[in-house]
Amino acid sequence: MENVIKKALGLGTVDYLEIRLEEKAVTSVNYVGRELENIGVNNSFGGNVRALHKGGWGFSSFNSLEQLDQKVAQACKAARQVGKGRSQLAKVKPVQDHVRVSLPDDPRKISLAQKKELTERYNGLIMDSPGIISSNTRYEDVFKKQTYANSEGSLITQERIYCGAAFAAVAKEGANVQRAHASVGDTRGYNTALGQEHKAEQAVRDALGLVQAEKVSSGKYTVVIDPIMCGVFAHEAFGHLSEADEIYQNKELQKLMKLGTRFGNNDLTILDDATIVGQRGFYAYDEEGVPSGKNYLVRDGLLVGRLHSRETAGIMGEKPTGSSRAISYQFKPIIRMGCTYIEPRGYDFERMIGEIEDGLYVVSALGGMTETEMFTFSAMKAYKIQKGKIGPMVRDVILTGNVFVTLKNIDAIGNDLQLHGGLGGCGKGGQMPLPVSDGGPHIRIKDVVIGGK
Amino acid sequence: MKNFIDTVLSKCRGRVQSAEVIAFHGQSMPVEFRTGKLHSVEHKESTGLGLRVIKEGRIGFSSTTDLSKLDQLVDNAVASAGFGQKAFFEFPGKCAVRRAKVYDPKLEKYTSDQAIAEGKKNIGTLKQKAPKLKLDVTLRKGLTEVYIANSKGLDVAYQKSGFSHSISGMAVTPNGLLYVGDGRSGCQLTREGAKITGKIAKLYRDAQKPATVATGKMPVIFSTDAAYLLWMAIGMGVNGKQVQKKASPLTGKIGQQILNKKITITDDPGYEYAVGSSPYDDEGVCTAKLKLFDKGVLKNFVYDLQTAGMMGEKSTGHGSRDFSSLPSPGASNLVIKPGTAKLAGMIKDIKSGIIVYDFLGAGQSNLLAGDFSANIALGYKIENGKIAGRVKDVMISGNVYDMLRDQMVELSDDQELVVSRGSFVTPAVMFKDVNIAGK
Repeated sequence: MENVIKKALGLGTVDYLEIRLEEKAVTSVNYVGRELENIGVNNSFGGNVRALHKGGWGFSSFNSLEQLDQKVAQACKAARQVGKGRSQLAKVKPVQDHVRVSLPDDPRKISLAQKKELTERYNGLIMDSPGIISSNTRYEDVFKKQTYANSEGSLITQERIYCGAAFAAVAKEGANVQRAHASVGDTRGYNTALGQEHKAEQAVRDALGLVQAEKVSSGKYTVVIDPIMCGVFAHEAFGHLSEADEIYQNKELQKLMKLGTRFGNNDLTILDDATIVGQRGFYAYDEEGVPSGKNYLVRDGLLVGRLHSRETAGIMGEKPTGSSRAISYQFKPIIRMGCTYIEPRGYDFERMIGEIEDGLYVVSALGGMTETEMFTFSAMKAYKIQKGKIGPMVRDVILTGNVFVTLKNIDAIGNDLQLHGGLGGCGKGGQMPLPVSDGGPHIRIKDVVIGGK
Repeated sequence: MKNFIDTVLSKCRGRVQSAEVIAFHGQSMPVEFRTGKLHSVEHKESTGLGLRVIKEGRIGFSSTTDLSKLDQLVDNAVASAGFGQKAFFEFPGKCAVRRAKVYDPKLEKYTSDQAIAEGKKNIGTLKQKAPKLKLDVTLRKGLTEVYIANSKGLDVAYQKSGFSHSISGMAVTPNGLLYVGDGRSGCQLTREGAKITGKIAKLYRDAQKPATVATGKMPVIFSTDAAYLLWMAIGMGVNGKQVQKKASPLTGKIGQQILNKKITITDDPGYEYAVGSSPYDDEGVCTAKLKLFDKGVLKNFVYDLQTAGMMGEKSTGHGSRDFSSLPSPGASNLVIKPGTAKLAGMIKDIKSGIIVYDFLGAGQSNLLAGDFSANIALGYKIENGKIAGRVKDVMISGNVYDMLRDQMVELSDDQELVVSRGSFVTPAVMFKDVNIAGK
């Protein structure tokens, strides 16, 4: 295999050339209600060639190695067709490495029958609960082996294993149908999926709580958000803004995102760290063969960095951060996050809540969307905070706002950091879902606009 | 490809009761401009094969893109059937197929040079009309061959082409960041760059002036670009799977007046060159037009084979999937019958209201129940019958079913094919008393 790749790389007639091959097996078990809707293994093999010439990119992807030489020629031709300027890749040291995963509980050693039994048991916990009408219980493990080589002499083989479980419970009362979920997912092995009964039970309690809950009244609130929503905030509202691909050719946005600009109070620090072994957002090298890093984005309230590909780092004259990732061989890498979080500080959760006269405690997220400065996040559930105490649950809580304003409105950062992975991931540029994790401690934000009735 | 399919089916013989293979082979060519500059040309070739088997009455499934490992594929599918769901159907035989226009041979010869030239032209045009916009342009062509064969003797194949052309622009304005965009997506080579850039220029011009709205109830027009939010909810509601799970609010309501009498919705898999069109569904069942709502009365749900079997119904030809998953019901193209009002007239009739073009966070609410709450990413205030400026940081919320029954005023007399989280042929829709949370 290595010889085939090396030979093909030799055919390139461009500034820079890389080949990436990928082998993948996905095992999944999925119950919806009482039905086992899906169980089994899906396999894939494929690869791509990416070429850079005079600043232009050519790309060619395939499922069979048979015509690799032609694919190299096709990608090089496309790069020449595009490139009219100068290639500016940030310099990195060529790497030769083989990253193997050796897990004591490798999910590949566990039988499909065991995985089915585990998922069935979790699903039974949900479906046997009074008041629950449906469920969605999912187990998934992924094994991925990727070989990457480029014309600068890098040759890296990486194995990755993802494993986890996700739970959704649906409760109904009259016409009111409510759904709650919980999930776990990382790169630690099969053990991650075991012993998660409490998550399934939490989903049940939340769904039953939501059918009784009132809709939140829209308006401006002081909110405390939990570590999961804090992660969504760090990732969606701020993380995407720090991805350099939108700004590297846009002078006006560069002004907005100038390093050194104040983004928050002194105790606000946000970082993306893909080096935390075991996290779902962990990786050793990105899809350009650059080692992953611990990248500070905001430190003590000031913008100190952003996430780069080799190209954006080269053009902007900044350091590459190992943030070029692709969901599969069918896509060229784009700038993405790994594990994004807000650093904990000293604020106690009880004190954070206790100081609020009238506000909301927002717990877990259904999703989040951003358009540079504007964000909307939907919470799974929230509780009213009245006179310093957590009160009744409310539902349909959507948080929206301008990220620049909202970051400055963070007035308390807790001490209880938690990171979360799950089974889903991030979507960008048609590439979804990319495994990431995110998190933070509980934080308090003033003046958040909440949409509702 | 045919050889591989035959090989798989013959490997299944004797090991399972019946088997079905779906295979895709395709090429696509995206050409991307970023921030006004040509960025990349890509050539993607992909092959994939999915195998569904029925063994001792249970469904098994597996897929692969590695055609050298067909034994593994069969083993995986058989193992899956050991646990799989009980089958409530048999694989279909041949059916009487209707012609569907889903292939445009002109796209075979469409080159990356042509795409580059078109993109450059678009950027040049907008440099004149909207100089501050930073533009991303993507043109993509695709050619796909689809094969479906089963052990009952069904053996069908068809070709489908695709072409999409989209432009989005971003500008830093005193009123904050502005995103405007437009595009086309279908099976046919279209040359509508002039229309797309014209619309973007107008959206950009109208957005120069900021406008504010107060919190309250007001008339809102969902432009054809924004109407997808409504039909997405309806598409989820008529999905046979959601009905079988009793999760759809439409469960058990066939024959009832659900929506305003002005609303007639048809699922049309034969709509010319629309992305949702095809002669067969992804289980090899012939597709056909299906009325979903007639003058607001719920008529049908969409089904695949398994869900229909569970419900004691027949497949409506809406089995939908790619090669790597089991089918589930999915609408093809939802065609909404136009009304009689002119869009210009609708705007004229509004004293104080909003016209919406794009949402942020539209899919995050409980849309299956019809609920939505979204930020208006692009929308304009209407004042005394005229576009008065762009609204920002404004939330819109409501329930699609309530709105289409009680608050809908009228539908515009034109239709546009909109591909956004589904394929919809829709007019603009005007509502009264919509919840708006502003400043």
